[in-house]
Amino acid sequence: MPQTPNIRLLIVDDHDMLRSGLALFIQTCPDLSLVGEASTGQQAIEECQRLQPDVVLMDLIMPEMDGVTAIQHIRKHFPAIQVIALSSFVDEGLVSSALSAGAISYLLKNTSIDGLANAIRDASNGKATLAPEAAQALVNAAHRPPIPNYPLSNREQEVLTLMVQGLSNNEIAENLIIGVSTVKKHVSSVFAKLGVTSRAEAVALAVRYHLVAE
Amino acid sequence: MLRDTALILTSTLDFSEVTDQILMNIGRLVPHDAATFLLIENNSAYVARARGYDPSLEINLRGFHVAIAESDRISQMLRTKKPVLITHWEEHGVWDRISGMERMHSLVAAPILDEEEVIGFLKLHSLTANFFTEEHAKLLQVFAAQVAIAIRNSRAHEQAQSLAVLHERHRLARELHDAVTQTLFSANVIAETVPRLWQDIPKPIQTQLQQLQVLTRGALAEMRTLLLELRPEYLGHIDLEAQIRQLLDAVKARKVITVKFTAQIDVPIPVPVRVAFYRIAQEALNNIVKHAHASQLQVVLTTHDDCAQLIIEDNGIGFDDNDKHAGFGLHTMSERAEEIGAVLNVVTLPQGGTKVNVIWEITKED
Repeated sequence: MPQTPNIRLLIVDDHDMLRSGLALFIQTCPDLSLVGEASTGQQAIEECQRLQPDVVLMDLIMPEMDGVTAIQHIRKHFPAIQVIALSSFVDEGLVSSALSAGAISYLLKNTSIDGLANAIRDASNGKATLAPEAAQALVNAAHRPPIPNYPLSNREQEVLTLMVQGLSNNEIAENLIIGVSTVKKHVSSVFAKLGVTSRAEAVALAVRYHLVAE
Repeated sequence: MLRDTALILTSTLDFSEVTDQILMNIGRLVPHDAATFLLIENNSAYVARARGYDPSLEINLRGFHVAIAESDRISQMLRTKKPVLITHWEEHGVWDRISGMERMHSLVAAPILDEEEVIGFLKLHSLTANFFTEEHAKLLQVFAAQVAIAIRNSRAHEQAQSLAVLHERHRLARELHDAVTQTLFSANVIAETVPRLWQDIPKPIQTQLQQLQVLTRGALAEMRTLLLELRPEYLGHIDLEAQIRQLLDAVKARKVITVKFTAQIDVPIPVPVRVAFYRIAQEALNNIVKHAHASQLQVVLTTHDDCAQLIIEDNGIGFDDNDKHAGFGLHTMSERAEEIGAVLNVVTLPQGGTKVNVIWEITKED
């Protein structure tokens, strides 16, 4: 039963071979047509404006503008376009920021081509698809015990950021041009607010929950 | 003089250099025949460095542990946080265990305080009785305060360095994963697509293409598994069913084997149980790939009532209790099961093959 292509697709990924592999696969799906490709977030936005695709397959980690920023922009300016995040990673932070930026689905780069084709069809009908690992990451985020007394003050936030970079109290003091004893006071209130007892624990928590910009 | 030593002590961050500097410089303030630097670990103090003793005594002293309760002097300093001066040292107590110490006839010692906590001691000995004075004790205490700062700095530095290593490892893991996964995913997409583009594909080529798919899927799965090993803190985040499927994908790429996997999870499985089940599955599948010579493999993951159960069964040669590889694997599995209070059963089946069965039950406490 010959079908006329009715879902117009844009692929965004900085990996050339991946784009050409996906282009080949889309040829085998009669109801899908590839209208364009982009290798950065900025290009993706331009191509969305020019081509008005139905669905965008979006990589998240790309040079120049990353996928999450591009998704935000696309969803804001072209709300009719659905975006599927297609990533190698399932970090909690990445999944939730892609979805809150407006991606309808989150797939991993281990999905089968049939799974991918179905997710594209569903997305064009406004239906979401989540890789099981991504769903688990969201559940974990929801079940995470709330961090006591978070947020931190600006100063505490700065101190935590430098702790994550591996600086000692003395180095932090030099960096922020404050006394070592003041640094110590901030460090202990950071510990208290995060509910931890050691520097290593505080840093681990900060990294895991993306409490500081990396 | 004291400022000089402070400068020297804080000039290096390397812990063993710091302790060497401490013992080398202490004599400029307080003359002595021998010096010992002790650190507290759990409930004992151990000799981290010793200097000035004759070589055999120095060797005997190195690493010597004293239980805090065993030494009145150490207990006293822990309590009072003040130095101790003994002008006529005759009862050597625990130190009698070290030959050569009996020649020391006076001592002065001071606690090293980090904030308000005693973290170690400096002890100076003299062959002469009545050698040290109250003034020496005071000087030693001031010196000990400098030592505390040097130790704190070097420990903070060591901690920062190990954190930096951890960071670097995470970054490498991410980059490796990202790069290799992209490539493998592309290969997989192509391997899956080609048979659809080519209608009358000859049978042998079809088989080869299928194998290519199995290989790329297997490599993708191995990549993800390795990433998890590099960042074990993510183990608690896993979706057990997806993770076991991934282990099985990796098995299929390594062995020609028919795999059947059924999962029925109706109630959430707690994180430690998920981690233990994952580790047990990993070990069992590893054994199958390496030793079982199996052609079929069946994995069942279920929850019912208050239980979670994982069964891994193959049709291989079974295992021999005396085989030390099998024994090692079994030991690892039973440790994992024990940690969560699960019951593990590993048997060779009468028809051949091995069955690993682990059941975890919520223990009801009232």
